[in-house]
Amino acid sequence: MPQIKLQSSDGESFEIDLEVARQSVTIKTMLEDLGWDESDDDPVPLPNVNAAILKKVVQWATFHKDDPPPPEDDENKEKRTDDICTWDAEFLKVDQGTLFELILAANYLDIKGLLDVTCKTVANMIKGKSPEEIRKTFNIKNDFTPAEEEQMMSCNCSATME
Amino acid sequence: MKLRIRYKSKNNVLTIDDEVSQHITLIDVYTTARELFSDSLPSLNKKDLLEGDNKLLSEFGIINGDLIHVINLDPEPDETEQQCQSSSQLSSQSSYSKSGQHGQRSTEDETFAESTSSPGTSNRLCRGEQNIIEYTSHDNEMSEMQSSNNTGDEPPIDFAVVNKYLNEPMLCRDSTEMRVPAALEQLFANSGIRNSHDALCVLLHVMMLEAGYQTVHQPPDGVTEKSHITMPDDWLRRSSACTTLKYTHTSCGDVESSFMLTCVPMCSLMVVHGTSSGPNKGEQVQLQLNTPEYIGDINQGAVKCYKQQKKLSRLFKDIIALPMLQSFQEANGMLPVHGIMALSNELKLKILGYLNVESVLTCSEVCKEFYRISRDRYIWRRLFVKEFGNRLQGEMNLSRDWYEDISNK
Repeated sequence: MPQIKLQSSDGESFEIDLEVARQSVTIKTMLEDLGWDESDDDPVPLPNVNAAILKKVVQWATFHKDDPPPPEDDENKEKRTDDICTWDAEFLKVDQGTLFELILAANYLDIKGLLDVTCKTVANMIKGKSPEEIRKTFNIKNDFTPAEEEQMMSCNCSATME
Repeated sequence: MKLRIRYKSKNNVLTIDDEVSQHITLIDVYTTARELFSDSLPSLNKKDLLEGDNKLLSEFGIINGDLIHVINLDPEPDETEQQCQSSSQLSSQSSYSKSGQHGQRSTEDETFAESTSSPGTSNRLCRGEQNIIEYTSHDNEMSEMQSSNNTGDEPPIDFAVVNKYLNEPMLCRDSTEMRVPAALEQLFANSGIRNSHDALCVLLHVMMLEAGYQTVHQPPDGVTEKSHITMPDDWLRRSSACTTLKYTHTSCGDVESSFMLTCVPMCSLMVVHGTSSGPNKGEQVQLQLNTPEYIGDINQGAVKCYKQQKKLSRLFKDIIALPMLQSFQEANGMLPVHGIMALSNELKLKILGYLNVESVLTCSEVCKEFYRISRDRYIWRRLFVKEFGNRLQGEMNLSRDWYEDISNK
């Protein structure tokens, strides 16, 4: 199994299976553009991902390396959030800082499966909460004026009367 | 309770009487819809099979409106499936009727089922004298599904239309060879595109909107109005030598900000400059694009015209849209944000796209930024179509305020 070296933003090198790395469309394209072959020993620099997060990403990609590619047509049709597999749910029991860094890394590395599951996890953190609970959960400042808030409440109430 | 069962790219709807739905087990579903399950098993996420025939549906976490995928255990290359998908329409639809109780209601329901499903087959699960679930299926392309709560005075749901909207990509980077985001399709059709450079400008504009930029319109009466899905005012005054597009960005709040994209065509290339102005200027950014790489024949519609959107989206956002905003924010001493607020506009959109009506409404009350994102018309049209099908007179496009429509329903 050919191996490839990835280098995180803080200079740490990871040697992983080429097949695992190729789940990242960004890395895959980079290798194609560079004309990379197995004899290359230079690490691929990933300036936007630090070692701690890259380690998590590699862990995820290694576990999911044999997943079948997602069918394209169902892409947007069903936006379920309760279909996260047990391993992923366990894997994503991390602090928010890590979770959002994982989203950014999945986005940058273009790993669709990881991006979907991390975004779903955030959506699940929003579901069933009140606005105040959401603010608390994500440390968001309420920047509405009292008047704006009142107006919106009455608007949304009429929408949920249905 | 209504469930959708997806088998070989056909959607079937299974209606279960609400009063008995908590007692329904998986085996009941098999027996009723047995033609689907002869050599296949159901799954919620298309990976893990649902196991345990005598388990209740509720034990699997199956709720009203769920989609159950039927996985064929004996996979074989299926060309017809490809064709079904490429037309992205339903080639077959099925209709089910709500199960009856005793007496009068049961008779009525049976009549209803007969009348809607005469061309096809009908299966029914009975327990004692009760019909628990009813499944009927027919391969008539023109047939329409009648839902159990259809009172008869509303037009039937056209699943081809509903699927079209549910299938639609939200962002340019999710475009496929068959579908592009509605906003792009709409702008492509309405912006008077004269050449491939125009077409590329329209695409870049849609990507700017995805990145959270807004166009500023100044109507004659002087009231500034921020609007979603139009080209900036200057678009009509563009020259063949240079196109200028102006924006503000929502995350800049009270700081007066102005961002400008200047697109200069040079033979087959287009050079894009991004500049920002306000109390302090941000750094200028620049990108050179090979137009034919991204633009095909502009007379074939948006879907055929645009190529390599995923690549361009990444390139443009990484080199122009995001750095331009970042450098402006740094230059004006705006505090860096963390956590969910640090995610780009399109990632926030993606997350909100997973929510239901109630949660999206709650989100709109959290803060101004969430309020703006949660009014996204793509999200509301999706929610509307999911909830009410295409039962609405008039245009289905994004010029409609879908949030208003759903509130009025």
